[in-house]
Amino acid sequence: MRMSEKKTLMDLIGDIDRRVVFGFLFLALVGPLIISIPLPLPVTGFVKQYHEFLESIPAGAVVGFDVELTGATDPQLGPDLTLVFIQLFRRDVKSVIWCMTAESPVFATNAINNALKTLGEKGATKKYGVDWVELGYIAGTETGLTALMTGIRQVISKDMYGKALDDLPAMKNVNTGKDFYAVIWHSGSAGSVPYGIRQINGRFGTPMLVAVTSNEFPLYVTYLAAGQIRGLIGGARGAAEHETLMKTAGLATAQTSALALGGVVILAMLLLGNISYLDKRRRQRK
Amino acid sequence: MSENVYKNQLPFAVLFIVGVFVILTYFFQVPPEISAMAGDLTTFGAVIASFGILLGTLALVRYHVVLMYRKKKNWQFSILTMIVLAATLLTGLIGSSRGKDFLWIYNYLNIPINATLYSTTAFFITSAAYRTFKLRTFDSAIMMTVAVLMILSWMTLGNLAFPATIEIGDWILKIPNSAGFRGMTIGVALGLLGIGTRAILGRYREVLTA
Amino acid sequence: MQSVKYASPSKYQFGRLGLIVSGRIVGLLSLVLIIAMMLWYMEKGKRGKLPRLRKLAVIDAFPEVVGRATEMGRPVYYLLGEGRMDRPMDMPATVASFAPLQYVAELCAKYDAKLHVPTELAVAYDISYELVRSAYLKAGKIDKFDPTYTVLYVGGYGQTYYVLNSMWRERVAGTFIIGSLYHQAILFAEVGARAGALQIGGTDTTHNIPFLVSACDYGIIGEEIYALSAYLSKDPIPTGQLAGQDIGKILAVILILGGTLLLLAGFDIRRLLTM
Repeated sequence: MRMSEKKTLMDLIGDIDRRVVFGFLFLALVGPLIISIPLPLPVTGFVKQYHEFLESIPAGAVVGFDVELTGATDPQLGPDLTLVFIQLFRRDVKSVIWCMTAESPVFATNAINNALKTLGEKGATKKYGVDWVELGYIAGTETGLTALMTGIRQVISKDMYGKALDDLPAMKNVNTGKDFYAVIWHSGSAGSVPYGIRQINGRFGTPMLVAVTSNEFPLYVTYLAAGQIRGLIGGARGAAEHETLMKTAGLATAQTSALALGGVVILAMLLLGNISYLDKRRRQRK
Repeated sequence: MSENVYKNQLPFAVLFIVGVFVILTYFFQVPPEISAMAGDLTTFGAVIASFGILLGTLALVRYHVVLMYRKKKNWQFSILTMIVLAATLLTGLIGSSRGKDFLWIYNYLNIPINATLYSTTAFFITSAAYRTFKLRTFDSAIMMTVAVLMILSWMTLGNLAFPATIEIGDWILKIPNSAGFRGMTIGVALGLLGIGTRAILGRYREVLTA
Repeated sequence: MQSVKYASPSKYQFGRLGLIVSGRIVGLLSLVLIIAMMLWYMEKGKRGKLPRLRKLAVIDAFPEVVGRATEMGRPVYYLLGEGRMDRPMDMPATVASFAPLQYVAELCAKYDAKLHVPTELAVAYDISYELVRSAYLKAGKIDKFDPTYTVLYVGGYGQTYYVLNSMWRERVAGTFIIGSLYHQAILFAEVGARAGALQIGGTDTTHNIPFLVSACDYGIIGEEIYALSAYLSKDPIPTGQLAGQDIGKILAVILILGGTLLLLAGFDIRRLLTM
């Protein structure tokens, strides 16, 4: 009769049920959101570059702003979206906002309202049409963007609220991609950054700032290194660093402790998995 | 007109003419009227794309109505789908897509559900890392080492415990990561060029038909 | 058409270098060269002189996956991801995934493996349905094609979570995760692996390639997804396309190496390249 192999502790460590793994990660992510654990946050060169470019935009300039957030990516990039609007409004920079995905206009409007509320008195002085314009959803992804950047008024004659573009002071002398001082691109994992770079920076040489989710961040570092974009922010960590530079502590900063503990869980899982694997290999060699 | 003409030849003729026209206007100096025509064609594309949303909705409705009618497995969920679709559509049409009710549905149903579902990615990534990141070979050892360094550079506790990880993480992103992604991006771009060439020249049937 | 009252686009595009727009000469020459080489190789292939293709190990894995599913009596899943054909960055990968789908359908029909192709969007569903059905018809096994299961239209974001649940419930034996995938890549690959499936995965969304390569048994990296149709069919058209693309890669390598050496020697050729 064959004796069944008894599982050692090392075998058990290497074969943890995924529900247990999920449980640990859940606790690590939720815990810091309930019990605040403030941690110092070093700021990386990427975010400094992004922030400094925003600070260098002169007052009165008009920037283009593409917002492509969704419900899924709003937790990562929503805080930075609000922060950028705060920065633009504070510096009296005008913005023309459009969205290449159908659900994004809501996020753009929410972020603008949050920014105006945060600015208090300064926010109350800002007027729609003068300080910002929302063009709404532009269908057609790259094709739509090409048409828009070639001639905004060829694509749409009215903004999202039905107001004629010609009646909006912020739209005076703005009709193509060349007319913007810079274009800020908040892409919530839509994979749209390459076509944004092709149709804006590639065609007109207009500088671009980009914010993406953390999983896409490594991909777009190549464009930053090549000078095609002037600043890059990745996910909640990047947004938190931006909040640190702006001397605020918002939703992104609140997430960093959760991210830190989540990272600890992942590293612990990697360690346990490898300890078990190496022990198994050692026993097999014997 | 025979079926072959309107199913195959006509669509490919349109594809060829529009594709070549837009490419030529991009590279060659053309009178402003021609350039504006190219701009109009791209605008047509944007308008046609917006009809895609309508088509998708109609296809979804057709599919679920068939499921309900034939009482296929889990047909009850199709009823729920149709109720939610109708409620959202009517709220937007009767009120407005900027109205309080529509925004309530969006802000308090759509966004939390989407965010929750997307966040499951973190759990699966952890489970995948635990399962696959093993020191089996030299290559996997390099992958794991880099993964550990990147995780440490991205988490604040890692930065506090090992401050050098910030610089190391930046270097990894700017140099080896950029090199690898540039190679892949060039390869993918050439692949896109190949597919586009075949599509415009009518040598890629799957683009328009099975 | 509404006339453009403000800055004319032509103001920003015209240069002084003859007919060709300034800044796009090198781009045009490269485009012409690469397309010419593709057409040349395609024509050469039609005359029987196909370029020799380096063997991709993943090609041999296709029958292995299907065979395993047949032996175990469990289904094979073919996952196109979102299956989008309306966005330029997604369409090529979706279109490129139809050729392997047809091959997998033919294998499943031949070996009597249960195939399941859940799709999220209507156009991809229609094309997949026709491709898979014709594969079963060609194999004389149309009775094995279940119109309510083999190719399924799930629709919307729910597709991902339907697939995760059904992969686990049905204990899928093999998965092909080939197409334009975003965060679904790691979800499908991980659940498939946990369910015990043998997996082949590939996408052209570069930031998701590492997930598939690490979590799947066989990986298809980047542009190999476009090359699959050439490998599978040995057709002169896709093979010629591949060979022409390689000329583009050689050109890129020459420019990178040459440009680096010239830069080190003090000659900056960037102005030349943006001529």
